[in-house]
Amino acid sequence: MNEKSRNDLWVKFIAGDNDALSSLYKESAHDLFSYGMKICKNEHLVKDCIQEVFIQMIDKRKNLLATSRIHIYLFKSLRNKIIEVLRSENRKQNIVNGLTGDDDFEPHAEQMIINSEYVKSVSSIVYAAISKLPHRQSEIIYLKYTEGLNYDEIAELLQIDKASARTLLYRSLKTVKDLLGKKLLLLTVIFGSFFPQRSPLK
Amino acid sequence: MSKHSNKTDFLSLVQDENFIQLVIDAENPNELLKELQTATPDQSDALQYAFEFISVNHGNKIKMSPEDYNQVLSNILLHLKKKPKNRFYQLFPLPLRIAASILLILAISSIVVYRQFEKDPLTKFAQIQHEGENQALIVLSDGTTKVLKNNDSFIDYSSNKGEVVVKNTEEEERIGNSRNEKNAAMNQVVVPYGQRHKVLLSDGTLVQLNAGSRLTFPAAFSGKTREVYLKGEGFFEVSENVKQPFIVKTDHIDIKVLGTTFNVSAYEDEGSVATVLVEGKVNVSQKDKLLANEEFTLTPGQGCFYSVDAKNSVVRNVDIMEHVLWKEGLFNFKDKPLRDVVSRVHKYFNRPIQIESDKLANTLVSGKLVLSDDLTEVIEYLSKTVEGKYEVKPDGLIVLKQ
Repeated sequence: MNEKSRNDLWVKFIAGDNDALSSLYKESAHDLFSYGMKICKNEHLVKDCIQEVFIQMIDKRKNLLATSRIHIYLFKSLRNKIIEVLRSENRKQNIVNGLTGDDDFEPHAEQMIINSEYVKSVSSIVYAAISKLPHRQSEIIYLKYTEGLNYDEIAELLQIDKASARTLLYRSLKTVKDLLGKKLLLLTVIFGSFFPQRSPLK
Repeated sequence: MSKHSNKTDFLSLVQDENFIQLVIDAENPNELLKELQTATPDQSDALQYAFEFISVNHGNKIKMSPEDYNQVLSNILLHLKKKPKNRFYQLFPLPLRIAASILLILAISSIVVYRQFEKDPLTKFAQIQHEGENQALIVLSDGTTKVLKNNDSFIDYSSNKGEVVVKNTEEEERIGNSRNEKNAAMNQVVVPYGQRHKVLLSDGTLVQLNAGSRLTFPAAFSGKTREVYLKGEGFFEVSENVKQPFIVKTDHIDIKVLGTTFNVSAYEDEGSVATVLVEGKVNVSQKDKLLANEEFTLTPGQGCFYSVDAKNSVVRNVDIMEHVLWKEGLFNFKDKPLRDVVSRVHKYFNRPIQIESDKLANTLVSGKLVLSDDLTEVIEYLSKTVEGKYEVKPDGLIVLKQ
């Protein structure tokens, strides 16, 4: 579903078309769920939050505005809802801090690699590296490379300016590269015979 | 190649939109990667990692379980149904909504008012129980009640002066009563067990009420029909008015007449409603169905007997005297189960009577009782009729035995 037909559904929904809302749900549910799971690993919480986002849209229908980026609007609503729930639950404070607080992350890459079981293929090394990222970094990488959002959309969604979005993404990619570099060093030591012609990222 | 330039290469590759698109669109990623690595062998590792980074991320979406997906969808649909008014909000501008709301409120309240005061205030009022119903009462237009001290009173509503006149052999009492036709205030005469009273309605119709009966009626009739509600038994002598038919409503049947004399017995504890026509013509209609209720037209000497359990009516010729002599203080019965006769005697004398066995209760009896007689004489008469005896318990309960 492209952005335009999503926005058409949105306009129809605001005008009172209930079928448009269920279509919108059908189009967005899996994407929302996937993104929600990136923020918080609790499947039930994410599911409940998606439901809550749509129910609030119904309740506030008369106050909703036509927006050009309904996809982003939904993502943003879900993100805010999950953070709100986590805050109120107060038991996953560290995740919230990771999402909203300062991003001074120092990866303990070596430890991670040693603990990691994903050392059998390059793609699993990459996967392990991504999954070891701090929340805020892993979130922006998800938005950029999994959802395929541009900087404008990411900035709007994360409620930061575009320059900050660029900086955050760059830092995140650098973390990935560092993780991969360290991993590869270790890999070369362990599996040197399997990669004789290669050198690690230097 | 320097360490620095290598690092930049991974980072620049993953930030290169063209490279990203190339990886995502690749039909055969492995071949593409090999091709690229062959072209730039120095960047082989950077290429592979950038390549893997992009494709791993690209395929990193997870799906909701079908159960969760459907559950959330149905909850949303449920919520949509709860809020149909939102459509209304969105489709009409505010002034229109306000106007529509006012109209809606008016419409609803007029329906409520219509149902409560216009259509069937009678039925509603008739169901209200008033305090002190073990004594004779008049419930007046303003809701106040007046206790009748003497049995066999004559209650006259036919005065035009906005008052009710209660007469009996010893005295005459005038009670102020509103006759405002617009609010058609309901009045009620409650006759307890052991008493009988007469009511002369505003239109000149005379109703004689038997023991344990209630008649609900407006102080003055307005509208197209004259409607009264009866529980128990009444003998009606309806004054003729072709333009304004008279309707006796009961819990189970309605009796529509123009001007005639008939008896209606609609005691709740007897399981049947008997309408017996003395003169003129009446229509009896059942009301157990919403539409197309059965209707019966009676000719003098006929009775219509509606069975509450069977929900059907039987019309047959009757001995009128058997049904109307109660108003002369006589109780005439022919081939009636002792149970029914005793039930009547209980109403007339307001004393509990028990029949010892079902067999005895079902015994058919015929005879005539003078209701002004002493209860002891009545019981003696009854026990003789069934060739039995009776016992009076210390608490006053009378038990009929074989």
